[in-house]
Amino acid sequence: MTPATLAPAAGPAAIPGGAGHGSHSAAAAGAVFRVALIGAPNVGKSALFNRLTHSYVTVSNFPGTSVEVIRARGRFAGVSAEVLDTPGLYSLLPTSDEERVTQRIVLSGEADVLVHVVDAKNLSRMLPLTLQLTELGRPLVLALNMMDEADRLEVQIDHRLLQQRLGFPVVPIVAISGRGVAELEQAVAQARNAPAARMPAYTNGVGQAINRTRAALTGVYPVDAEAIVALAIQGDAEALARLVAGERDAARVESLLAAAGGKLDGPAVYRVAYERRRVADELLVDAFSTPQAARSRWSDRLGRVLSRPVTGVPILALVLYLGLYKFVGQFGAGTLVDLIESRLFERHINPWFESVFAAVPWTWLTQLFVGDYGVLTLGLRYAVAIILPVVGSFFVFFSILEDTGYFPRLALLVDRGFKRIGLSGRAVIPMVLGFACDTMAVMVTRTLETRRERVLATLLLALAIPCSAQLGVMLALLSGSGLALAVWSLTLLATFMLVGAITARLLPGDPPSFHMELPPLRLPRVGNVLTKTYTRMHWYFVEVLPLFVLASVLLWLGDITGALPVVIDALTPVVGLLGLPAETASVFLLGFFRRDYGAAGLFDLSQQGLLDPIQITTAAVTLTLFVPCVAAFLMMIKERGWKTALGMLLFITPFAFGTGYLVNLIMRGVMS
Amino acid sequence: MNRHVCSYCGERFAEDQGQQACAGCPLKGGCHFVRCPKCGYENPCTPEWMARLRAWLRTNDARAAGHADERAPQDAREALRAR
Repeated sequence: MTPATLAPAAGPAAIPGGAGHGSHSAAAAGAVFRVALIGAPNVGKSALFNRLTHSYVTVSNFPGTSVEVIRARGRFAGVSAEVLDTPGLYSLLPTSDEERVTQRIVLSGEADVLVHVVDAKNLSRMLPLTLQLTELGRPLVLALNMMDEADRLEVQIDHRLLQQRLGFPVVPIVAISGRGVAELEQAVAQARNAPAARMPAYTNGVGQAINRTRAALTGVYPVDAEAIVALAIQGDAEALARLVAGERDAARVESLLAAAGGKLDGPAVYRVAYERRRVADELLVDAFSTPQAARSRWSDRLGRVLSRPVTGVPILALVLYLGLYKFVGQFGAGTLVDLIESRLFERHINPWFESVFAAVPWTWLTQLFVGDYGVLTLGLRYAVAIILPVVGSFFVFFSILEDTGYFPRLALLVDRGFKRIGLSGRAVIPMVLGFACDTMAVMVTRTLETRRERVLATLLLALAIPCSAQLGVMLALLSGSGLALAVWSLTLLATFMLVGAITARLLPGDPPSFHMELPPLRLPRVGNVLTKTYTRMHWYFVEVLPLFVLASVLLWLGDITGALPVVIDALTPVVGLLGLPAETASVFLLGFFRRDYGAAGLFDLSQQGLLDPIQITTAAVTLTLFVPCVAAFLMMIKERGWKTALGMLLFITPFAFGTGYLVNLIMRGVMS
Repeated sequence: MNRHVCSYCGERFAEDQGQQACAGCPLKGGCHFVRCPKCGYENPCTPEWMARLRAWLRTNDARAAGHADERAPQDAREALRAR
């Protein structure tokens, strides 16, 4: 691989199609000298800002937003300047208000010198933003902050070689101690009058698309139009508005951008990001290395094996079989539940509770605590003896996968399949979290890019993603019969794909694109796994126990007032249509509170020998397809609005019963 | 200020930035999770008692190994706070 070089370019200060790469005229004009600190969150921008400035700061909201921009005076090699501490951003293509403000500051060209502050030890991840900033054609300085931490971690950086390749100053600093800050000030002062770097040599059609579009522009822009074109090709609204304003011909701009986008092999967002990554990697050859570099070579190979369909799908199947079926289903929901529920609760704890309440003269009070729907004998037993061991073992499995860095590879693996249902690999985050808790996952759908994706993901989470507790109990319930397990799994998978594909066709909108940087694969640490498992179990238990107690109290209230038998009688014909015994009506009632509560009830009935394999399968399918729980439904209302949430509920409920009806019919037809 | 490494995307971030990303959640402050400001993944926080236990174990290990500079971990924490 030949290392890339970004040669400095000479040129006029302002030319059609951009500000040019030449020396900046602000100094000559005697205007206010402005220096903007740009960088990702937590790279030490504010610490550097404090080092560079020596006067009172001005904190003001960026016009039209609540985002703060901080300004103060500083001196650079004797020259007074205004220093701007901008909100953190990861890319000039913004995804938040903070990033949008920084993008506007940068595109407005108000800063004479841009200082890109990076965390030196994470340089390889931050260099693509440096390349984006070079596209602006402004004087630029790269500040490698936190060099002390990089040294401690034995990260090797040849900043002179990098500077030679980039064509602008690269200064190692430690902002909190002041190391290298004087050199940085000197570099900024010199950069003010120095030529800026040229746009990186992007290939694979990206450079060509940007250059051709730029060459066709006639407007004058405060920064080089390459940067604006690169953003507009990727669909950035701010950049598009600037081009339309500059060219005064919206139709022509759109036609140019469409032509540029058409030359790229795939979504522009992905192609441009890929090119920047590629150029950044080339620039860092021999200039940046970490002690993990050798390890990452095998990690890279393994990562590719995990994310390619031919090898990744069988590995995923093996992971699910060992992790979910053997560990969570058989060990957690089988061995552990048997130990805690059958031996501890049934033999010791429940009889003790009953003996304590035997002395209480009021039957209604005894029923409240130790009756059929007792807070202690039902609510506490379900939460502690059935759900807790299941979620505990699930969270161990989940935390191990999480700590290895497997999930981002899973996102790549499923990206193609997800696109067929209108989603992208990005939706793996809420889907994976949905297996832990659907309520949390529905909330996380807000990180998806479009409303279409958010609605689709919410519907699929509510319909076909069982939460950890339910999943474990269902696996334990179905593990006795391979056929039952296969029917349940295939029904969920088919529902997920079919409903997703149909809804994606019905909902208008563009198909999503997806790209992400992959963190390295690593061996899971026992400490991390235990910490994550503990935190998740603690959170789950604190959330679940009060709801189980509340559900028990409501059932008890229904029981003593006579309302419960009426509801159960009303539900009995419905469960009868599914070929289920009348006892399952109360299970479905529990399922309205929480699917896992209902699953625990089903598990109870199964243990009592009241269900045959077909009935277990039918009840499991129907209950899994229900809306997860009251909390998840409330979150759906909050995130998607009550109309959408109610629409989903009205679709899901008959769909769940209809599918259960068909499963019962088909299984009885085939097996008779 | 505690620093986190996102379990999903590997982003390093301070806890207060994660909390900013959590704004709007009804469980804000009570869920013991912190959301990555970059990718949105919910990361479990280390409980306070566990963090203290780890720090205590590290200090004991350092003492047992006879390291001269036992103040180093404290200094590192101060440095992180300053950022």
